[in-house]
Amino acid sequence: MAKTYQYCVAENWGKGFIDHDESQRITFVGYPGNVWQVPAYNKHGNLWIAKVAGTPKTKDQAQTIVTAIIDAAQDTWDNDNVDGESADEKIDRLGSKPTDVTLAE
Amino acid sequence: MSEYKSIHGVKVRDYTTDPDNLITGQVWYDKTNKVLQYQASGAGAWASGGNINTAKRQIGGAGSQTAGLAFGGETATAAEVNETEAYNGTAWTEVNNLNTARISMASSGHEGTSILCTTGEISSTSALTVNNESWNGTSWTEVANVNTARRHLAGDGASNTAAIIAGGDSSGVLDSTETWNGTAWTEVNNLNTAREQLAAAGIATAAIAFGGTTNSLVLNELWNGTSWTEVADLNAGRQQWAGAGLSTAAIGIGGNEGDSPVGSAKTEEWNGTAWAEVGDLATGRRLGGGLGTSSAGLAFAGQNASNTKLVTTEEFTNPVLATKTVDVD
Repeated sequence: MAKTYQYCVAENWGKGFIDHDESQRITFVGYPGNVWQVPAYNKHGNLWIAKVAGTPKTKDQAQTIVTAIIDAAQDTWDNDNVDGESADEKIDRLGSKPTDVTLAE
Repeated sequence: MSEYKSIHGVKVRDYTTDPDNLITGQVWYDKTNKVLQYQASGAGAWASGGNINTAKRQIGGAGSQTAGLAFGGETATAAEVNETEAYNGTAWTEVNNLNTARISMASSGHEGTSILCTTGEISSTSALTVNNESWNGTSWTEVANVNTARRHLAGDGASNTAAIIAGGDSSGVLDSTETWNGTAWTEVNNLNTAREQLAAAGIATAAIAFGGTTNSLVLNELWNGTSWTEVADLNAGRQQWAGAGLSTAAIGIGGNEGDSPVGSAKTEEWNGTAWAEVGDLATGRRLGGGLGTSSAGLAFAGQNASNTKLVTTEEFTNPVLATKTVDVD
């Protein structure tokens, strides 16, 4: 099956990382772990990965990076408790528990 | 074949560099590169801005895309901070701190030299503050307190002398509204639907309050200086998000859709009549800051799907003007 997306790891350095022209041409999705999803088989996606010196990842490799960070965040959330605190109070203090993220092919 | 002049009444001019003061639709011949070019106007889009110095969530923000201010919030190591950072369109610089550290406050002001930071929570003690501070471009000064301390509210205003706050939480979800005249806060007519974690945009006499919780409301209310009226719903219920703009032209940025804590990348634009989805953020975020206008907005900080607090900033431009090359055989 032809893939729809390609993935890379690149650190967002700030201004110029994604410019307006690139943002208009393709859709970027940033995930935890500096994982970025851009369209596959797309000239503008390829050019952007080259511009930011992104390290290409397969979907499974990217998923492993994201899952490891989400799992760690879920563990941190589970283990961060205050005596006498209700479930709602915990969410109020920490935010909701991170949910699993599934990357698309 | 028709000639350009016979259709438009003028000839295509030659230039060796791009013409000055381009207007949308303008066509010219680039003599240097030997191509026909035109100035296009595209849909709104986000681009990366300079990273904020310290990652935060539940942060305040006001001002413009080229003169913005971010203040307060929660960091990875502190439940609340008084740090203030100023954005010049390229980079964030640390400036004078708030007098009272806080999170989940209201932020008002459309210029970087006239901003208000109102009420909020001192989360290390779970206390709410009535404190109201005014920024003059250099430092914060405590001014008259709000009537009802609250958190997770929304507010906006043109300057530090005229603002409105609405909703929020204070031992229960609030519908109450207060307006600021530069000297004192006055209780005025309530929202039709009590809510917290909402967003707002506008000025003290013409504002819009949208979204919020519980269960990610799609509701949208318009303030005419006297009372709130329900107007067209959002496309999706949203909470923990940011707003920017005016009552006639606003954007809502990120947040949670439904009760999912992932952090949405969606942006909705209000044109005075209806909401429409426009360009997505590159990084979905909730509990972040927003400022500026519907044509030049800023989204910064907040947290992503793993609850990691963010340093990233994104700049919204609508429409995006770009020089395009015409393909000719």
